[in-house]
Amino acid sequence: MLNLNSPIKTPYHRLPVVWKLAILSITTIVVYQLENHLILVVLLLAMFLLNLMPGINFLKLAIRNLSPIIPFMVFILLWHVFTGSTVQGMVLLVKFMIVISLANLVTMTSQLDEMIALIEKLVKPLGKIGLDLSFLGLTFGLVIRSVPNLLEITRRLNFSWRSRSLKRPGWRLIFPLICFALDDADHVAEAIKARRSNNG
Amino acid sequence: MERNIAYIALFAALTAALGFIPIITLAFGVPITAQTLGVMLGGCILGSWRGGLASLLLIVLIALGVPLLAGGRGGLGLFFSPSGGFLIGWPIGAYVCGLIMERFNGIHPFAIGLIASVIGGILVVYMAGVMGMFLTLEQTFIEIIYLVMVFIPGDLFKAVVSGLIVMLLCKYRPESVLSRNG
Repeated sequence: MLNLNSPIKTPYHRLPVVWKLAILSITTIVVYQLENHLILVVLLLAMFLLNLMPGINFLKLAIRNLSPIIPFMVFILLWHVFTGSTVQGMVLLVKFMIVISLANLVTMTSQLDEMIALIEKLVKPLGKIGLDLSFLGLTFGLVIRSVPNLLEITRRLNFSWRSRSLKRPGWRLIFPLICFALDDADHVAEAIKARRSNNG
Repeated sequence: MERNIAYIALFAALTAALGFIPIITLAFGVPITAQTLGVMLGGCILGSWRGGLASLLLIVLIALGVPLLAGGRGGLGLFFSPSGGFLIGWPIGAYVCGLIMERFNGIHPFAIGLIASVIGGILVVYMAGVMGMFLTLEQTFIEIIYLVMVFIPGDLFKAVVSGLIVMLLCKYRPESVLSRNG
């Protein structure tokens, strides 16, 4: 299953998703307003401790999840150094680190099905104005099911290309991949239609 | 209805899968992936609302923590980073791509695919991205535009590929180009 949820169970997993998202939203608003450097450093330290409390392995996992963002952060800092506003850049970086690591903590400790259930609950009022949202869970499932399938097709297309050419395939694989995806979409549409008519 | 659901879901999945395919590898080893090409193609092939919903579906799943963004990234943290505006721009950009394709149905598919991808997939997405960076980075608009300029050539290349793919689809399987078939 594709998701960034932590396999290490923590007390945070027991908190309702709504609360976690509310805490994240409030913290984000407050942190971006803060200008006191000491409070920001204390908050950053608190974030580190929140991630450390479930154990060193959880902290390592959190750092691994955040690592793809690091090059962008370095780029932002270098840009501020280049434009002569190093202190402002460092303050911004601390703010980003607080907010992003808290958001990452929410992602790691919230089950995907809980999040989907919350979205279904949030969009429920739209049903009253005539929108059919019964398919929402189905579309989420379809995407998650189809990504590994399309990656496997890409791998096979890549293999076929390399067996005939020494050049890298690159963008040339995209057209056949799209044709596969469109064929797959037609088959899936027929399957959904058949399932719906079977269910009456 | 069923066809719309399948096309929206499959295009969201396709855009995610494109994030794992390096279309060009720069001289210093950094791969440029085709994920934003998926956003352009979603609008150009599926049309405005289906293309917009495919990108929206993808960013909702990314927000929920499914690692579908290029390089296996995901989670709420991305939306709080300075580049979060670009992600929010995806559904709007795809919608605009589709809208242009629908409105200018009579123009050559390559030309209109390219124009739609440049306007929707680059201009609109960058406007949202620059706005997001402006709100978080405390820099001037001009400075931020300089900052993002480096990515424009790669995105122009993707817009050309998008135009080519639209043209090929119109030639070999026109029934699949929903933006031109209604």
